[in-house]
Amino acid sequence: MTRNNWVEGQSLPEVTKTVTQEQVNAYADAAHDWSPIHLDADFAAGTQFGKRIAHGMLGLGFVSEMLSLAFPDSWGRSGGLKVRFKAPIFPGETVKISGEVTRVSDSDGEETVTCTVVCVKPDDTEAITGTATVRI
Amino acid sequence: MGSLEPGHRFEDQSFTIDPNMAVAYAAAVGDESQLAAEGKVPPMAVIALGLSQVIEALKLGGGTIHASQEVEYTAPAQLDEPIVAITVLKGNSVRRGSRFATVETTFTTTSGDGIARAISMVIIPE
Repeated sequence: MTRNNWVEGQSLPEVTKTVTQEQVNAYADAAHDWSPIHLDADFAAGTQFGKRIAHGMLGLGFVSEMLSLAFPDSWGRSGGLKVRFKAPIFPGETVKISGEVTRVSDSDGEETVTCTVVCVKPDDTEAITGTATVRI
Repeated sequence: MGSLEPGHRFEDQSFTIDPNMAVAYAAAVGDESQLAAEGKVPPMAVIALGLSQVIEALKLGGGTIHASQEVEYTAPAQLDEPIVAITVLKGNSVRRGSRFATVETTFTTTSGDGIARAISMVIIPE
């Protein structure tokens, strides 16, 4: 056990979200991103995805929520995140966001926790994958 | 966009997240964390609002796709505190019919104190 009780292999609190088009519309207004690929069904039909997709940053908002739940005092102050958007999230899909601690290190009086993070679609494909690092 | 070279600095942007914006963002994400419950600025809201300004400044087409994102926080953004976003083009190339653009945005207070740094890669159909 480490100073802040994080250990390698430990899971972060899982977050599950069912994304709706109403949520995507609300997110567009909240994040000021009104790109038609998220909002306009006719426009989206002509893209490689054939239909509207959720904002990648909405999925990343889910990841950030999980990290805020895991590290409430540190995530927004000393957190880092590096992710790839591997597949789009479509409205109507339920995604699971999870993470696992891969390393806990101690340096200069600060503990650093490194985790994998992943957002998985209903068919088990990965929508977002990456690594988060938080100094506690 | 096609003529811009890496190193190009876009016009500095400034925005403020007021309590209503923070609540709207948390509600849209469905954020149930303590920060959201306390009405504070959700960390990713800073990056999301900054990125939307970059998209607008770049005049990117509607088919633009977000490919990757890096984020590094140094201090929480405060409600009603102006945030300055300085964006520099880090990469701009065309591969297999699509343009890959990478931008780095530094978020600070008006007095220059760091809030966050973000690196975003987007793919723009040519």
